[in-house]
Amino acid sequence: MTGSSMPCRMETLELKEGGARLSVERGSSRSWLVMQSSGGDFPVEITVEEDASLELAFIVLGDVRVRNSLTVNLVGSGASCRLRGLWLLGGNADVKFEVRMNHEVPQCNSEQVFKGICGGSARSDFFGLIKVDPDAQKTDARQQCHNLLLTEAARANAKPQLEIYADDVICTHGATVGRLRDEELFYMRSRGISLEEAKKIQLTVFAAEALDIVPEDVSAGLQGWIDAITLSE
Amino acid sequence: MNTMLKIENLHAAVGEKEILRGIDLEIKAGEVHAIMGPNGAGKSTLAATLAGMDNITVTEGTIRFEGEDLVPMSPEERSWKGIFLGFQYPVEIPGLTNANFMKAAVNEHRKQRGLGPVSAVEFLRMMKEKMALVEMDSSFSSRAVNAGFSGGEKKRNEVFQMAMLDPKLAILDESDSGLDVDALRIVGTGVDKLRRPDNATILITHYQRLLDYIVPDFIHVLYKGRIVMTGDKSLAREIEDRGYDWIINAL
Repeated sequence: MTGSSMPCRMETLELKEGGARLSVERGSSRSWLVMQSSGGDFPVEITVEEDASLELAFIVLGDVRVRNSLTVNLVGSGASCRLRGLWLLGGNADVKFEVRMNHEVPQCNSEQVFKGICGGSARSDFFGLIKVDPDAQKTDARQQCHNLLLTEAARANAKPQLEIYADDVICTHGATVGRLRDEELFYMRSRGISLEEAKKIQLTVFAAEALDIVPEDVSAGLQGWIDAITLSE
Repeated sequence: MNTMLKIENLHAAVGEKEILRGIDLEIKAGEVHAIMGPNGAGKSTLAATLAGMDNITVTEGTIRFEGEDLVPMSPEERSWKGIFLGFQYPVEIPGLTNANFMKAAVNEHRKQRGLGPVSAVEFLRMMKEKMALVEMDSSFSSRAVNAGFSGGEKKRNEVFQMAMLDPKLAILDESDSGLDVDALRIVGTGVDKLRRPDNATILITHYQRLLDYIVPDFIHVLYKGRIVMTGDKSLAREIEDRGYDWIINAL
């Protein structure tokens, strides 16, 4: 079944302090969801072998201090990784997220989407490195990290980095930090959608892109967090 | 006939700059008023003031809608009362489908009237009927609000939203700008079909051509924040032929 993209059920991965080393074996697919609503340091290293596929989603919630340091090694040709991250932060949350996506061999692809929403005095720091080794021709690597700040006191940093040592590759990255768009809010309000509801809609829509691989019941379960963060301003 | 909107001596500023400088206007149910005037006259500011845009400050005068003071009301309250603004530049909301956008809007309007959320069947029926009015195909409801829409599609979407919300007073800000002839026909006939004895429309336009579809009862010329001339539909033709100079020079 090499190269197939059979859908697989997303399993919850409990990270313990001190981290984890995992691998996705040749030709297999794994789909993991990491939910984080309490703090800690979590170094994680995952190796993806030939024709194996990894889906991994991190959801970080609330007023937490989290240090995530994720390394993904694509070590066999045809390996793929879809990585998602969403943080919905309030209070004095302090989240650092470091990602190293290592393309070591030819013909692997990786696609990363991170979305962060910071209210209260929360801050987030994202660092994302895509490294493409000299051998890793025909790499397709993409990374997006977008942040919304809901308050004056909230902070977000996003620092994407590319290190490319092969010449026949596609690598893209984008990072933004912004605020709710007033003109969208006014447009919705002019249709009778209340200010509060309009903000919730904007946050929900913003977060959705990072939730495309997550089961619907999980993303539906985040609505309460989004509502709370809308009000917590 | 009942007075729906009564504007008296309205002055309004965008930031520090006074744009509207003493507007008087009365609109009754069943009427269509066109507002014309050169660029920078304050037409769009008047529209945005009526819709409650928050960077505009009313510095003097009153706006009453069905007897109620509009000035302190939020944009959403104005919408619930029956005011609709068709945007000159409709806003794109990537990620939010037209269907979900309208469902949220319709349900908030229903909530204000003490009703529960619209049923799926009823909502679909409404969507289908109003999409047909502006000749939108079935893919429209699952596309993101105005995202990647052509100029014509955006303006048709405004008329679609107007039809969904069934306002008492629609203010259409240059709904005809940037349209090709087909889109103009769709927008023009669409708005005209929504005319009833119990609603009213303000059309802000630069051109006679929209008024061929929606014949106005009155045409007002706005210049430097004031209405300087009011006439019947023939005034639009005259402006099309002669421009505004003859009006301005006579002031």
